[in-house]
Amino acid sequence: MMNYFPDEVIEHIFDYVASHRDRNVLSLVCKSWYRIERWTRQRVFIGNCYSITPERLIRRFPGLKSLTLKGKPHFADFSLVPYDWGGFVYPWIEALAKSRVGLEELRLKRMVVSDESLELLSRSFTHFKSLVLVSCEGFTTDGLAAIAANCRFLRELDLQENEVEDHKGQWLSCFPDSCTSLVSLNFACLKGEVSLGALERLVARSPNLKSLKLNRSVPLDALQRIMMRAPQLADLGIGSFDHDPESEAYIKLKNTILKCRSLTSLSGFLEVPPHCSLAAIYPICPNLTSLNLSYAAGIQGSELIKLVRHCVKLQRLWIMDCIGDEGLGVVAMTCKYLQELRVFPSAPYGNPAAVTEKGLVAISMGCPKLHSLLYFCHQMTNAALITVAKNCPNFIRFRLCILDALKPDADTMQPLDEGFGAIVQSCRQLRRLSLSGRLTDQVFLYIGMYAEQLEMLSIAFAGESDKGMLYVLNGCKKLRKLEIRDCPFGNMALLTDVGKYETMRSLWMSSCEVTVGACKSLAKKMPMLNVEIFNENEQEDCSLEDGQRVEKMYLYRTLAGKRKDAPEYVWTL
Amino acid sequence: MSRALEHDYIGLAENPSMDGSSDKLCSSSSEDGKTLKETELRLGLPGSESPERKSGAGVCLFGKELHNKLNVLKAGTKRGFSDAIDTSPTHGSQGQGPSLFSPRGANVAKTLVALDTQTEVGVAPQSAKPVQENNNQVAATNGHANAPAAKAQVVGWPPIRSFRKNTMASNLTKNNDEAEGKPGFGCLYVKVSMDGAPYLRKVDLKTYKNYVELSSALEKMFSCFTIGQCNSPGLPGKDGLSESSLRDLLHGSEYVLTYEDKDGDWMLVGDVPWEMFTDSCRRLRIMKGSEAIGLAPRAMEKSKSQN
Repeated sequence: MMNYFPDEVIEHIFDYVASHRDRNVLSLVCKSWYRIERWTRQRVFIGNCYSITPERLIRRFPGLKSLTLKGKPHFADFSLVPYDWGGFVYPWIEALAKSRVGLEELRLKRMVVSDESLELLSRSFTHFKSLVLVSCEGFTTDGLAAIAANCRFLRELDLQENEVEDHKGQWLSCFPDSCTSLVSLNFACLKGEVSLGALERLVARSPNLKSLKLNRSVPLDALQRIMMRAPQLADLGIGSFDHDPESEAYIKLKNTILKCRSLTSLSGFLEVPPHCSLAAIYPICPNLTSLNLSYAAGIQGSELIKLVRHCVKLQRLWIMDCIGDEGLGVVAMTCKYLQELRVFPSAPYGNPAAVTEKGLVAISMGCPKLHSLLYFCHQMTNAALITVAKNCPNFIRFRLCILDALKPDADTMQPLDEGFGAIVQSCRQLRRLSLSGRLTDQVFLYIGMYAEQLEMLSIAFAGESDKGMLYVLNGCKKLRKLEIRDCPFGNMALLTDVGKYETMRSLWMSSCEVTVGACKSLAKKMPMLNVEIFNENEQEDCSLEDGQRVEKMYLYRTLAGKRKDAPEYVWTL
Repeated sequence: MSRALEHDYIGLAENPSMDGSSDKLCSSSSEDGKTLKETELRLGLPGSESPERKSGAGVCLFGKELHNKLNVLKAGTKRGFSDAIDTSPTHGSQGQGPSLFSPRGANVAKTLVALDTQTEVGVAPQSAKPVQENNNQVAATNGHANAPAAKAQVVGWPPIRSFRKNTMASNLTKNNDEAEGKPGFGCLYVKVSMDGAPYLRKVDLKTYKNYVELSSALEKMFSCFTIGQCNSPGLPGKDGLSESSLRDLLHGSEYVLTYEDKDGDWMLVGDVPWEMFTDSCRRLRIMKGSEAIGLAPRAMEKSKSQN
């Protein structure tokens, strides 16, 4: 029946289909739908920038307006991927610039972004509106200056946790007076100073500004002036909260805060005075749906607890473990609508007053809507995980990091297989799982059996034999990303079902038992995969012998063939 | 110079034992550390001395039996394929015996950087760029180390984004008086450039306790770039990169170590107390002596007198 509809009608219907996956499915129905879909597709998501060439992407989707690209493997976040591995955005921007694509939005994660790329970007697309960079590196404030100066209709500049070199230029001053379109500005990750005058003037002429996240160099008095000029702000990241409680600036700020009734999201507090009191914030807490104090190093647990008591509407909470189990109990009592919780360690190897399984159990009892968890803790028990699984069957993301990577159940000294098994059995919608603690092959049996929707799995220091990995590869039909470090999985696990890897985005294995020979064999059988081995040995004439164990292997499916920008230590087999 | 080698966390150590046994530099046990039993992991019993039970002592990955026997790593070397071959007796033997983790023992040992008070300490840097976590209080003696507040460290563990880790680390150095008694993130990475070198390195200032350690680590790190000069006539130690010739090179006429401080000024390394230096140092640069004239009149005079 659809064959009789003119294309315009089908296009119109397709407009309502937004998700990437749904559109991918549409394009597979028939040639005509493929054609219509590709001409109307505006937003494209590329999970691995090496899976396709920019030219090919542009050919297929000439109407592209928004592009999301991810570069380095996830474990790059934890320094496991050597420097210069890749993920350069410049070729993409260059190719887009040469084409007739009217790019408006670019979102990058874990990519290397040079100042040249930013400059080219800023000059090539007249209607460019939105730049979001997450965990990227390679650029300086000079690149930001180019974006500010040249993107006349910029709406969003969102820098999250990037390594940016500060060149002490006045990049903020580069926004021309005619730029009044800003909706979102986040420069919290920058280390250097910004021109406060330019910042205040920019805020004053941006009536649509809804989200503003300042870096630590913006002092309290400037914050107060900015908030006065932008009472419509919904999302605020406070830079420095350092103040003298008696000062006029602080009193002014308290009064200004009372006027900010639109604020629903708060973050930052990157600099705080010793024994900081957050009482000035209490009045807006009842409106907050999102609170991120994970970088607020100076705030004591007791103060966090006092603050949280006011946050009755909270849906997302990112906090440090100094809140303690007791504090999490307060969260459980107060934040009945909580959906996402992240508890970060305030010290990497343990703050003895930090959180344990008790805090997590309390949360599970008080917050039944919880679906996303990232929890760094000292210890865990099977009983706790079983309780959590029962109380919160709605988990989509469950990431548990026991700081002592091999620690068993703190009460019974058993492996944590049963606990995680309960999680996957109860949470049928689970899409992402990170394991830690002492684990045998049994946990992988459970995962393979029950985790039907699982798409991403992170494993470290777990398992006993190849069977573990095989349970996962065989059982998890929707698996897309598998990353493994320091596990006894070897060639048999790697090679038993090579076809599986074409159904996945990528596989990372480091410090496991796979050998060069097995990787070579895999690469030979699967030409649509790039199998990369990192040889970081200083002796460059060290040749790859088949029997050698591979330190780091990263493989991914690709239509682009072997990449040309790999550094010397990366050997694509 | 074994002590200095053991401190070389960042790599490029000229380590003759790279292909050989890993016992030479840092095994704390007199036995052959490669047997399966040695690397066997056992749980510490509740109430045992396992350091995870000690308050504030940080985290230990293995049972206490492992401490004295762990065949730790060749200090200062990279994990190369030769490492893998060396310990192959423990590979492939999966799930043997009662030990929970035997095949992994050797492997995890390699990634283990610093252990409890009774262990020998060594490092296996895993990546070309020195982006690893290091215990900033490493002790490096031969088997009777008493690392104060030692922590078990594994590269890339716990899985915290580097940005977050670095931010928290610099927070702690800023609020030093607040941070007393708190175990810190303990890393403070700064870039190190050397005039004429094709790429930069990064070092974690927290892994050194004084200028001597820093300078010795930098010497090793950049030694490969000074090969040419080393072999030029007129310099001692013509067998390539001997320690002494390097030291002469760096302390002598050719190079001066400078740093950029918080205010953006380039200063000579060594003038202020070590803690003050780590607080204010943002990056390091190994400058050619000729360029350092305005910066380091002392160094120039010294080099003239040596020539």
